[in-house]
Amino acid sequence: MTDHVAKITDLRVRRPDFEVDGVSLTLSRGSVVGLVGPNGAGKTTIIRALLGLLIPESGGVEVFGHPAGAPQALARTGIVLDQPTAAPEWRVSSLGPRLAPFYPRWNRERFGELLDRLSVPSDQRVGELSRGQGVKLSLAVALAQSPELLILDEPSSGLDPASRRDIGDLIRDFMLDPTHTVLFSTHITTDLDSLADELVVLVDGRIAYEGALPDVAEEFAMARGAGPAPTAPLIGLERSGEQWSALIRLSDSAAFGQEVVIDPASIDDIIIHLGSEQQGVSV
Amino acid sequence: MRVVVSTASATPIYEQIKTQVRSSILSGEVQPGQTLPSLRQFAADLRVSVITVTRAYNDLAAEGLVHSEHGRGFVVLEVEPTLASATLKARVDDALREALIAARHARMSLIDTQNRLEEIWSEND
Repeated sequence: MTDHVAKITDLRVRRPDFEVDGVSLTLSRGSVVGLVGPNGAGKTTIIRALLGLLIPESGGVEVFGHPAGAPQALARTGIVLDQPTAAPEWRVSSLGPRLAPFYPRWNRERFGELLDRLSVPSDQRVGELSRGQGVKLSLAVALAQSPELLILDEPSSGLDPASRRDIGDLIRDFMLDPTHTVLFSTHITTDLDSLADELVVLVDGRIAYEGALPDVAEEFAMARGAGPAPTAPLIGLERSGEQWSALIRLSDSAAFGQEVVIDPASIDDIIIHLGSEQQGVSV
Repeated sequence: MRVVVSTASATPIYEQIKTQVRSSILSGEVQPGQTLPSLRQFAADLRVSVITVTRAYNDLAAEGLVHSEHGRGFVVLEVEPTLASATLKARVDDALREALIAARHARMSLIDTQNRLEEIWSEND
């Protein structure tokens, strides 16, 4: 039996501006999965589908063995979305008593500790908080629910480095319990390096790459050269004057001649080139 | 056991952890029977992902330096002299393989590489 906490099977969602086209994804218990990809690739759609916030055209989404959005699934899931978790006019100090009745496993003490630790000012109104404080508040609310699965939509975007580190530390604390699982989307690749066990690259509503994070370095490399590009397999070829660069499979590196420089690929390289390849930008 | 990782180093973080934990074991700083820090606690302390520490520990287990015991974590094994020497030789092999990858990237021939090795060897004499 595979020990998974959530399973997406052949998810299809169509919207006027974009679509998610046949995504299947399994979240294994105890793992931290980083979801990356260009804007509009479908990261937020997948997160919303896991929370039961949208109705897919087809495909199944199951969380803790229940359909996504079922109360039994949500009770075990902590959520940090882009928008604040509470009404803007509420004071931070009033949130505990206001929110507790909605969450069966609300931990009042833990909520207080988290607000202290994250230095969220308790006398301010939710709407007056900075972006960083708002994310920290959402994370405190999510963790106070004693979740087993934590889902975060771009928790670190727009945050200063110290806040990003605080949030990373809390996620790593959460992962001290081996039954806990995290899914987060991000544009910041240092977050992936310091947090994620698995990487999922979404491009144009499909999974372009999925694998253990350390394997990425053994899978891909960057090839650079000048003049005509070689005929060997190139992913997302880019040109700038005479110079060209492309992502390659490391296993193809023997096919390149002396004049081609082959370097390790960063996660950014992989996202950019897989992205431009699938969007048909490359020539 | 002191482990310090550099995020700016070209050496992957799991390699850095592996090398440093291995040195602690081979030098006797960590005694046989002692457990290594738990995967998740160590990951949190070092601010790295769990899989990074898992890779390092699994490699050390494959080298026969530690053993994964259910419920206890990774326990340091007795280092036999033959094993210690085999481990050191394996380290040389690993380092040479890495050097050869770099040499291939640099389009150096075997002869070029051997010559370079001799030059570097004599630098240290």
